Amino acid sequence: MKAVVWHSKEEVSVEQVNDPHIINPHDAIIKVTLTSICGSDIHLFDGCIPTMRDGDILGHEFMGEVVEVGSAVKKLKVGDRVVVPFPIACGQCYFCSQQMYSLCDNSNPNAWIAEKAFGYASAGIFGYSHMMGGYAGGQAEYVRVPFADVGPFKVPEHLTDEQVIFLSDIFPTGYMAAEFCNIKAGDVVAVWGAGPVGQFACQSALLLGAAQVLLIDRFPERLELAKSQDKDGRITLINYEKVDVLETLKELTGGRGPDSCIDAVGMEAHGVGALAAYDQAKFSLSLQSDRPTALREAIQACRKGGVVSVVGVYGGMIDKIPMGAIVNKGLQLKSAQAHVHRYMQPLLEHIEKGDIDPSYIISHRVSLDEAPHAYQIFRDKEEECRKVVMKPFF
Amino acid sequence: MQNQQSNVMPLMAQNDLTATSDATEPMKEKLGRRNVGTGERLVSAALGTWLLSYGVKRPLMIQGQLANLGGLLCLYRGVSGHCPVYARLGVDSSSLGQAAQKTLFAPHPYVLHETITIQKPMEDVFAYARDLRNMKAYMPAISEVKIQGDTQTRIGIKHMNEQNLNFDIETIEEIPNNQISWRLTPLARFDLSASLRLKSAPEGRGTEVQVFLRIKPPVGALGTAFFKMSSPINHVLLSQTLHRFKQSIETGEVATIDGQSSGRASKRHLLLDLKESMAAGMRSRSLQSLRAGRGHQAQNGAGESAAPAQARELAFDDALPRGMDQARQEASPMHKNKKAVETQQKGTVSPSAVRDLGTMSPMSSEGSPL
Ligand SMILES: NC(=O)c1ccc[n+]([C@@H]2O[C@H](COP(=O)([O-])OP(=O)(O)OC[C@H]3O[C@@H](n4cnc5c(N)ncnc54)[C@H](O)[C@@H]3O)[C@@H](O)[C@H]2O)c1
Ligand SMILES: [Zn+2]
Ligand SMILES: [Zn+2]
Repeated sequence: MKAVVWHSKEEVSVEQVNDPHIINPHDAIIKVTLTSICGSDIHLFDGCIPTMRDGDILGHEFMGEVVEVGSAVKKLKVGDRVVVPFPIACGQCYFCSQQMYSLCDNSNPNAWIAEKAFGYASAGIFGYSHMMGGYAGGQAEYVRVPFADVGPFKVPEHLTDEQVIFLSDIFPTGYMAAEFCNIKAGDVVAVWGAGPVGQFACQSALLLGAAQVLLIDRFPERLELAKSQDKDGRITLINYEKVDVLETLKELTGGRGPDSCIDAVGMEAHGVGALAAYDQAKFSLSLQSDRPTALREAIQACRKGGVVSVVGVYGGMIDKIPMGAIVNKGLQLKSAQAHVHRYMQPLLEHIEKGDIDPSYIISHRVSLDEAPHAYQIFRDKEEECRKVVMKPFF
Repeated sequence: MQNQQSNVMPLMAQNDLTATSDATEPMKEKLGRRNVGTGERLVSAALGTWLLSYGVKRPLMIQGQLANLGGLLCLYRGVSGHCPVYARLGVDSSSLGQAAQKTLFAPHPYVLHETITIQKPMEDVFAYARDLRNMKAYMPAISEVKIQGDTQTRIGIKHMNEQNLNFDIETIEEIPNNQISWRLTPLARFDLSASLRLKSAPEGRGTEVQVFLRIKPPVGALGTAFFKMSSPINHVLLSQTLHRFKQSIETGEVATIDGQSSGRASKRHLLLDLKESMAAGMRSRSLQSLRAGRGHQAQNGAGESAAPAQARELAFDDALPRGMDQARQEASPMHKNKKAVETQQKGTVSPSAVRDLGTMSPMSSEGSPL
């Protein structure tokens, strides 16, 4: 079959690889009808995530039709049309029973590597390094999906692939980010990053009743896109290249600061100023794996007693985190890889009711063959690229 | 046997694990403590003096400097009664050490310990553990398990040239729903026993499992030092095995990527992979697979990434001409299913197929704000 294969930093290609087959009794094989490139894939593309290996198949946002199920699969049937959550969860362990699916105890065959890095291992993730299990991803014609009765989520026929595919990752991620904020009437939520995750964080904060959402980025087309979905004027755009973010946030909140701050940027934040230069220098010397400009700003900007919700991905160590601000302002820091399984049903209902049509973020529709180019333009924000969906079969 | 057991038991009876660390990690033995026997001290001091007398006369020559260094160490051992090398090896030839059987050539057993919580009642965990046929699930290196009586089990381990290596396991202790111990017999080249201890975890969190692996390599302290460095039986393996044990009980299968699709089926990649994994410090695994040169011994490695998986893919590629390869695939049931779905999409049967084809031409934009 054809698949998007990672070779090394900035080198991905589309290749013929061996077809997947059932390995474990709870496996299913999915024929992929639509897959997309995530901001997290960009971290892989840029070589920021350790334990990737030449030959790994990428992709964790995908959906399709079930073509084969293992002997122990009970609910899922051949022919079912499903969206697959990016974390792999067993459905049996303590964490799954607490709905903390991305922390599943049993789905990461390389738990020992993750334990070395993080103390304890989190769930396996499709196409996301060997520390996260080394599973072949879904930017391919076919993909093997373990624990098929737990993950794959059946979607109704009247919704298109484009409307439901983002249930696999970024919509639940954005929603979880907003949910972390415990939004109450009158709350102002600031969101760093108007990429796909930031878009859904923004929409979800509105769904959850935020009075105002302040969206921060530097790309006018991304900011405007969010504004285009704003039915009642609750979104305010902030271009951080044009204004001082901290001053502007203070100004817009009557000197209180946002009630909660969402980091939807992650480890490759773009930055201006001395601290950003320091990060870049440390990063270039491999002294620091992540560049936390947006996270620092979010902590600094947050009002006293507020929530800093981190869904941007960090891989390792960061430096110069204002811990004093966290302690002395009594902030809560919340984070996770999205517990996608938890949100698929409720978010599907929002889509069915017409509260939101997630396909609005798609800017590029291409075939799998065009993946290398798509990775590059998505990373560099060229051709006004905001989100790429790829179709393996035409 | 009694002896073996009594050495393991005190460890397990203790809940305070810091107390066990002394026994498991001789390296942590206190520095500066007297650990050289009286006779040995005299010899050491004499040797030291002689070496120094040789060395000081040749201060500019390399052998003179070495003699000085060795002389100082020997003199230090002799005078202080402490040897840093012994301390590192956990050797003690003083009268105390002799009583505790810690001299250089006495066996130096060590214990690996790991613990994990399993989300199942103690009875289930115990029942699963005591049935050694389950070992095949959580120890992929094991190819065969034969129960040969109440306490005797024979296991076959896949080894070089597909020859099976057989071991006999004896169950030496069984306290229902609490504790179970086994040992390897006969004591081939080293002595290995394992104990599993169960404890119920607080408030519906299942069962805490502690495992102790007691290993007694041959050739005393040096054998132990060598074994610890080079043996595939190490903490990583123990932790992996315990994770698999838990996965198997909780979910009925063991998570793996062994045999999955990847872009690594070429020779170039096989070589790269070996280099890469050596660099990543997975030495033992790669060497093992190099030696073994075939499937499934990924016990120490990163699942599919284990070199043997590639070796297999390679063999497969080499053995089958392209056409046959394809024919084989087409005969597989999955391929038929794929075909079915494909034809369904091509015909007018599936509305979703038609719809998708419509929306998905490159850069088209149904339902998008563009
Ligand atoms: N936690 C999860 O489960 C989860 C799931 C999906 C994605 N993610 C992560 O979310 C992050 C965003 O993903 P995405 O798909 O939206 O990626 P993206 O790269 O398209 O979006 C990031 C956006 O942040 C903006 N940005 C960069 N530096 C900034 C700064 N200093 N201040 C404000 N904005 C800045 C960029 O201009 C860009 O628009 C990534 O780190 C990704 O790995 C996490
Ligand atoms: Zn993602
Ligand atoms: Zn689980």
